[in-house]
Amino acid sequence: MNLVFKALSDPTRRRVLELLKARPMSAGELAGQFDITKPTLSAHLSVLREAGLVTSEKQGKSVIYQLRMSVLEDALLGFAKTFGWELMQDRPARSSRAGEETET
Amino acid sequence: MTQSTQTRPQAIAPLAISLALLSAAIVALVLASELEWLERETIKRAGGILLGLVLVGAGNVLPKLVAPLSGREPASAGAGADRLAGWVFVLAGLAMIAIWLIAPVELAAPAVAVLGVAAFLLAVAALIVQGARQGGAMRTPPSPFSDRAVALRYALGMILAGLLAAFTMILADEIWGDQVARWMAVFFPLALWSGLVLIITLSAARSR
Repeated sequence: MNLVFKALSDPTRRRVLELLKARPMSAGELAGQFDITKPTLSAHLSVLREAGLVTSEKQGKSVIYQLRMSVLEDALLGFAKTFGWELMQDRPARSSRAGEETET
Repeated sequence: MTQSTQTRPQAIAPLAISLALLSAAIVALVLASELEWLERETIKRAGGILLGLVLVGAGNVLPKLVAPLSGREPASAGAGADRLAGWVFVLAGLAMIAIWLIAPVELAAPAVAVLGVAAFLLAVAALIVQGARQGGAMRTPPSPFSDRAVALRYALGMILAGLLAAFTMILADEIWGDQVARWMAVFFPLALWSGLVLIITLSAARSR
């Protein structure tokens, strides 16, 4: 369950899950929806796969990602989305970054 | 060519543990009833709550057991119906548990039976609508031998069919009385097992 909480704590990963709710998508299609590098997206997808929230299949040259969430996990995703839930360990880094931005 | 890169069956252990606990609870209830350890009303309420818990558990795990795409176009493989059915079963199961905890027994039994049958009708409607969106007809279901997740889906289907049978029997008991419900109790498991044997035989013939 820890892996699920970790996976749901990131807004990018939550957005990936929301996109996959519509239909299964290839890694390329998903990459087109974000302003992040492919290796970063690949790392996010790997966290989601580790948590068992998505499943991937190789079709020809592309890898297709499909949602694999229980109702409880779906409810947790809705909860995390509503309350902007993030991991505690992310907070100091983000707040210090915000502090730096304010100083400059 | 399609190759699955994620086969870890994370849903198996919780499913097996839940089934073992469920079996133990059923045995305990039957023993309590036969040896008159508990009042009849308490046993009826406990049995109803147990059915609600099974519906919650089955509904929760249903969208998790995704079948592999197996070469299908990703755009035609929407799992929306599974997700909707899962939510319907979980919410209906929670409502049933609440009804059995709060309502008087003579009201709880018919209310839960109607709720159960309605939840199944809604889930079937969602599947039909999804089938229509995918091209007017439901796809042939994948063989139970094709993948572990597919096999688990068949097992879950059996549990859900058993639950539907239970709710229908409670409803029949309320409407037509004990005699009809007893006959249904005989014929439902027979129909269920015949269906399973037919599916396995056809799938085995197809995979040869």
